[in-house]
Amino acid sequence: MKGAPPFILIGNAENRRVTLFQEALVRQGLPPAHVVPWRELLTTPGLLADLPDSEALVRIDATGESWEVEKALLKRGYPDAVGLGCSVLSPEEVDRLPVDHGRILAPRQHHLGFLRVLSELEAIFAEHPRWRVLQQPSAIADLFDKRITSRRYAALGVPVPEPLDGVTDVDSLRQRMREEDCREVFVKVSCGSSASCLGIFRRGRSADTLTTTIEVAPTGWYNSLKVRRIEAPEQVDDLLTFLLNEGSQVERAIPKARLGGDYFDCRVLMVRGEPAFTVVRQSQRPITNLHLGGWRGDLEDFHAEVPANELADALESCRTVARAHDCLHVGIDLMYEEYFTGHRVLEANAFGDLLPNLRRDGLTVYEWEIREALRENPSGTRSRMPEPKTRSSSRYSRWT
Amino acid sequence: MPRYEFKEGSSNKFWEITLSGNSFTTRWGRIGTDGQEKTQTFGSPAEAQKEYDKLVREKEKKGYVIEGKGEDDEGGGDEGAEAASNPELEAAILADPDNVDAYLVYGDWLQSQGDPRGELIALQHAASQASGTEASDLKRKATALIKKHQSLLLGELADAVKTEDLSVQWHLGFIRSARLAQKDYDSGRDIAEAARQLLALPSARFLRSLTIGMVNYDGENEYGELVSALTESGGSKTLQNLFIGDFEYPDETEISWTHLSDISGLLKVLPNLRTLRLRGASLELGDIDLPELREFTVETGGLPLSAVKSIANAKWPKLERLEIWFGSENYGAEGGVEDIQPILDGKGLPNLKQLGLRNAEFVDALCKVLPSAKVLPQLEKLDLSMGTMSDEGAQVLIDHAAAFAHLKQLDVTENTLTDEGQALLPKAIPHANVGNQREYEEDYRYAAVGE
Repeated sequence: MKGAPPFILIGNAENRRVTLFQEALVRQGLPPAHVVPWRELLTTPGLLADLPDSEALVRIDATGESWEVEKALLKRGYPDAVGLGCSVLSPEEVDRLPVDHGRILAPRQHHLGFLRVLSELEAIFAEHPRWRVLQQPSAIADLFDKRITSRRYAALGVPVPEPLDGVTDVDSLRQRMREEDCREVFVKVSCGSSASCLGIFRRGRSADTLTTTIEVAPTGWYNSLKVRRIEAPEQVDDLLTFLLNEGSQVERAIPKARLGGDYFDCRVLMVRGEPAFTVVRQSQRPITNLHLGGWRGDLEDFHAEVPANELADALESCRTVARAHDCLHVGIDLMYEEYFTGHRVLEANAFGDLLPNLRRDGLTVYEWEIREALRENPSGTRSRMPEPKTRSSSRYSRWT
Repeated sequence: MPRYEFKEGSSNKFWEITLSGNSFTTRWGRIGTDGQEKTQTFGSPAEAQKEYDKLVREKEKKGYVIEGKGEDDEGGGDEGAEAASNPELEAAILADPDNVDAYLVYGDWLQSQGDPRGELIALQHAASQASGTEASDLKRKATALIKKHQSLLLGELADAVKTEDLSVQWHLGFIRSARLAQKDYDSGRDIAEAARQLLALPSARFLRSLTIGMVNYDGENEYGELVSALTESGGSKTLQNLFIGDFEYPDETEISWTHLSDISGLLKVLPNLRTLRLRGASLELGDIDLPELREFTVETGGLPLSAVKSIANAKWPKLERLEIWFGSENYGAEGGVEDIQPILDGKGLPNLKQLGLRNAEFVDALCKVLPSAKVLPQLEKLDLSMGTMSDEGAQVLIDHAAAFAHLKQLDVTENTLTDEGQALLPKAIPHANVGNQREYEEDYRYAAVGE
């Protein structure tokens, strides 16, 4: 791949997302990316803004798993968070926070900080028209709001779990569930990821329960690797109140299809609008995340079970979702309904491509993405990628 | 008054219409609200009827589904519909359950007899051939038809579906899969009795998969009565997949509080079983003779010696996947390497490709015999996870790495390897999966799941 434009990679330099991507570039015979670490970028925007406007591909990766970056984003989000009703930490309080792995700290404020940073990136990119940005900041912002994505996909005709509107607190949640004759809902903080800040709330005739990844400990609340079912009424209400105050997507829980008796759903990684990789996430529980007791299921088993027309319909939905975002890659959580009677798109993730040890045609996920990113830019002379010639509808993004 | 509902994507709407003489009143809005109301008057009752029919057709076309006539009148739409049956045509399906044509022939006959099942067969077949909105429309129609004729199709079990103690998969007019379980603490459903009703139900004549979840939330979760009910009902010649113990532990109950009981009699009346999965304690299996079985899984915190021996000496010549959780001595696990020697020798297991010897407290001893086990060369996947493998056991695997080189997967997760053992093993056997090791304490090592 001689003459390919260099990559600029915005991420956490020490994170395996960055190291694995660098390895992938090397294996493709390309020079390593110019890494702009979030930690430094947040204090010194010049690290990115002062780079020359010459042909380059810009990849943005997750901010997570870095304590310094988390603190910086919390501070950045403070002015916007005040008065919203969510939990708020002043910059001074943030500075005093001890390192406490997994502790849940003002998720909405953190998200608002991230949004500010994304709009700053947008401004920098506008000054660099020769850069090709693989994921537009505005698209990343959309992907981090489950309330936006759920409604947008439904409007495009993609089946999603039906949202419950008009929920502001625990009382209205119960009220709306009664009205909709709904026994079980997912309550997900709309900017959460990796099943953090999430609960499955179930109304019982005698008692309500909340199955959640949040652990209530004496020193604070934590994102736990263990999914728990909480039955103490006060604690259920406390946790729900927190989730709702942070701004949550509330949607009907849809029974999932099974594989060999276990629940499962799929992570479908879309690259340039097409399904590139699928991971079957199998679990004893309806929450299938691999770090929460789920495991990678057998793709062959899945293909043996799924009816051909159901699979085709589901992948069509994935294409519609991917094309709704101006991103090279989108990681879609796709579930099939019980007994494969339909499918739903649960959510889509901007940074859903950390899928180690997967290969397709000999390429890892990152290698595949690199190849696809370069595919439309062979000459190295264009400043912006043109609209694909075969597609005219404005609904399609550049990556289809 | 007929009430139609439309639930799709973010839509959640209702539409009601009441005809009275030469006028009708429609009411519509979001489900859960009272909505708005409008009355229209026509020149004659006939004209009103005509307009009424037109509006109803329009709504149905848009995908609105009728919701019964009121809360207490669900499934009351069976007037004029009668169940018919034709043993000859059913025998054709039984003889070749994957032959869609046999269902369609029966469907035509049923339709000619006025049995709504005939229409259901036709709708479901059309849905299986369609895609996109056409498929959704057909599925919605099938769902509405099932609801309308639920007393004919489900008999007494209609109530179990309503309370979510029973979920069923309809396939070409019949129940293909069913899951029976008390839905939650509030359910008082007698699952054994429901299982009896299910096996006797005409709709379940071609039942292929049965899953049983919680049968009792108060105290011990006992499967004895359920097993007796299934056995006394004569079992099933069509059943291919059985899963007893589909509960979440430790939330719903502990695995050790669940008693699977003696299922040897049941297995004798399930001659076509292909997959069998069991979760719980106190399992007795007797002499296993399952000529069609492909997969066997038992998940337990304590497998009694008699069950170990049943498994080791089972007749299941077509078995491809075998997964055994042995459990903890503290919770009744018995037996060791010598008791599973027939498995290690691959005796009577010519097709075995995946072997799981999991959740065991004799993993180090197992590691010593595995490299020379006769069954090893034929395996693609070997799973030794959740046990008490120490670095010593791992070292044996490392020393004999070549014996494991052909495996697609070697799983030793959730054992008790130290960081050093975890680092060394994948160097010798690259496809070994070593993550999530548990705390290592000499002399205090237990299987991952006991209680």
